[in-house]
Amino acid sequence: MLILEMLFLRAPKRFVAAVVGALLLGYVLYLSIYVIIAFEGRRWDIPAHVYAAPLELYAGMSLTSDEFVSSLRQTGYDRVPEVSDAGEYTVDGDEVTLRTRAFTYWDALEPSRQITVSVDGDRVLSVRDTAGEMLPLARLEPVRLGSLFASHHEDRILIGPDEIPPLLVDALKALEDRRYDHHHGLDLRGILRAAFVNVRHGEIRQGGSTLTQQLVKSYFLDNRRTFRRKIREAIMAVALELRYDKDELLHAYINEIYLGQQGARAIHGFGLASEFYFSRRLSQLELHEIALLVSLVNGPSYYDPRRHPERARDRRDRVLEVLADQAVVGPEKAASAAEAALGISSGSRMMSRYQPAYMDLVRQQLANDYDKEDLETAGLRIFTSLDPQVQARAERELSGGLARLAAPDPEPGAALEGAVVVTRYQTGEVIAMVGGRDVEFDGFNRALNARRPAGSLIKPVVYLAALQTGEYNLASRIEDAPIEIELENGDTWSPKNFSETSHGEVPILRALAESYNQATVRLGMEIGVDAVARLLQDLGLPEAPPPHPSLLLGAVETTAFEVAQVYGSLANGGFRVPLRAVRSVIDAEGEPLGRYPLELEPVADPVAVQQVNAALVQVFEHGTARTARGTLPRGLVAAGKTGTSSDFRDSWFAGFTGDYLAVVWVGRDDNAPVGLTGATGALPIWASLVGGFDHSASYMPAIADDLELAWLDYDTGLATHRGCRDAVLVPVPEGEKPPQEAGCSRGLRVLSERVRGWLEGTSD
Amino acid sequence: MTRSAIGLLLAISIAACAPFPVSRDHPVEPDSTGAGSQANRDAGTASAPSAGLLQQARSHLAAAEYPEAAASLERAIRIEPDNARLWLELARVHFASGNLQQAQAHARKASSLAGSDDAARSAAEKLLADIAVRQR
Repeated sequence: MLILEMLFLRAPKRFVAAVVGALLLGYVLYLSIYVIIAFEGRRWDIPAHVYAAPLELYAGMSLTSDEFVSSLRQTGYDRVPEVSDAGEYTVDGDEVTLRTRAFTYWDALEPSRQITVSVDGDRVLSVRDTAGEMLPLARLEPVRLGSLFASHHEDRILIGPDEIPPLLVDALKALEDRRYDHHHGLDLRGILRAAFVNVRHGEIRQGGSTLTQQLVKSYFLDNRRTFRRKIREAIMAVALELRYDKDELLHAYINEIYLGQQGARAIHGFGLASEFYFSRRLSQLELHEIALLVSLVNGPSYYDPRRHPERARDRRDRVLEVLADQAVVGPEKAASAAEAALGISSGSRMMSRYQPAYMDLVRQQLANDYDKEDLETAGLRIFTSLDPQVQARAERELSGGLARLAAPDPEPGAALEGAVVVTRYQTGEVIAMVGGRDVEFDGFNRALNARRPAGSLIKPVVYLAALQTGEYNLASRIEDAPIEIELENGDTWSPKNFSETSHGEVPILRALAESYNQATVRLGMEIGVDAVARLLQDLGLPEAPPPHPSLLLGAVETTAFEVAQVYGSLANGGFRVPLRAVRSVIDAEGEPLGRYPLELEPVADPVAVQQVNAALVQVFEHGTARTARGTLPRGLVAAGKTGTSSDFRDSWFAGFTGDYLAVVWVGRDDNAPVGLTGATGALPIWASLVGGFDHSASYMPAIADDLELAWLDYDTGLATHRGCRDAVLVPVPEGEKPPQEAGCSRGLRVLSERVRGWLEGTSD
Repeated sequence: MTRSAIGLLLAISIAACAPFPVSRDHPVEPDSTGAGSQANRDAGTASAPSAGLLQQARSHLAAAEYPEAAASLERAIRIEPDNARLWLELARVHFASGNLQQAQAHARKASSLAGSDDAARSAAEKLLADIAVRQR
């Protein structure tokens, strides 16, 4: 400062003027360079795009024409009388004809092609090309879920200059900046006109900012209306105009401008806005839709067509009037466009619907292999296994199920919460994930991050550890009787059964299916808690839990995702298949970068696992999940287990069919009791979800060579005959078939016990 | 103050003079659909959707394109997860690429799914024996 003062005091006035001029020039130069760097940054930084799984079409697959059409609409297909372009379809009775869009996958570039899909009820009869030739397999390009965006949670789909509808350009100029083609970044006449219009109407009808100024404003996200900012903006706008031509700036504007909000995700640019509001590509939009998007420029939140449809409609119609006044479109066209409904898509039909919970998983999986920088700027394309239909169903079932379970008016902060994970366990692919009842909330992801006591979900692992020793099988009788265990701290632990009664000698099959605590603890102490803890880690927990006796009843905190991994190892017959969300990654040019291959690791003895799974099937037939039988389709064989933590704080269900595995957790964020067991809270949601999957195959365990199937009496574990009451067919190790029971227990005794069981309700 | 302002300006100017946009024109690989669609045509008579993919995987395997072969098989397994032959072929791909651990796990999985498909089972057993020899 001193130097400066000395300079100014001693220097002649001309010199001072020169210095001031130089400083000003420097400031202008600095702002110019600053805005040009921002412009170039936006032009070249493309966040990674994330895609759902493509729909594979083949003869014999289960798919109704309604589901197919819903998938097509979600992928942005337009229904037309006759297909002539990619992204169009027609429906003719049971036949759907469509033309796919060319798409670059990890393994191949698939060209656009026209196919006809015939559906008979709930099955695809055939997939044919235009020549009528049968196609063994065709895939529909995947839905884009969103970006792995960086700063300010901005998401956008970059639109190329040649993809911009001329109508959009004309409409933007007519509404926002009529002299765009003639000014140099600033429009003094426009400012005066806007001021005049606004004064005349007594409201802000027109802003004086040029499109270029709006672009600059958007880059720096500064909404302070200060004079200094206005000056900066003006200098930067002029600098951009000097450096770039009009088309480049307009192109940048169309990709940049803020047009809406979904949770924490900011919708930028007309490309994404078109998908976000209409589930259509920008190039497909009609006049009334373009008018609506243009009307959002001035207030995406105030004119939000989902929240304020009437306000949005008024605004859109006024935009149409202006377009007619400015001769952008003819008055008749504008008038008929004003007749059209808003046409906003919603729910599962929404294209490009952001899935915060699933995106967390994608980020987590990619974090080990990719730089944050690359993910946020390099234009990568990421292919995931998310199934949009299953995801939508999981969201619906969780929110619907929680609403049915919850008290009508919970105290603030006491809402019942939940989480769902759905996988195709054979490949380890996660196909849906719901992190809470508010699916668009980009915050606490309960499926991935809520660690809660697993309760009885642990029991199958205790029995697996026992069966793996070779000293037990499903028919082995164990004691369900009170037990006292000395703990390290000197306390005595004496676990009770859910029903408060002990059942005496019971076969392992029944002890597991009915989730008896005392039998489980006795067995677990016999084989050692250590073995159970180690096995839990082998099956999929990130680390072995501390081997306290209470572990045997599930005193271990797990996430729904971890439970899905553990149960996946059971469903896969003792092979652990690491769960994955990302299949592959390609770069901006379509070159393959990385693939996450299917991997298997043998972690448990298949002979023991198949027996445990047979008991888990009985959970639905005779055990704690029998109340769900009515919800599941007739004849669908499923295996699963209820879980309830102490004081009814957590309600769990984990289970699988022939192709899907799902884990449901219900509880409260503040960990307060919810008064639900696994059977009354999570199970109905699980059953409604899994029962609704299209013709899910039954769970059919492969029977290892060392096993044979035997009819056992469910109550006693003794051998019996098919057709006898409570006879169940389960695998037992060869040569270890239990002794034949005298007679066939069809008597009143068994019947009355069953009736009593029903009256007592579900135990856990 | 002036000096640091000038310095900043200079730094920005230099940064601004750097040639950007950054060049990103990697050569684009010729698309690999040729082989794939050929395999599809050859398998045109097969009814199962995975038959074409299996054939495609075999051509990739023959060309030592292991990741591509595995990708085709995984696509088929998504459609038919219980088909032992697909898992067996994936085991072969791992075997050929030298990943014996995965080859063994996949061969065991194939064997466990074989059911009444004795040919698949014995092929899996044979592969397991080959793996054991290689592991020695």
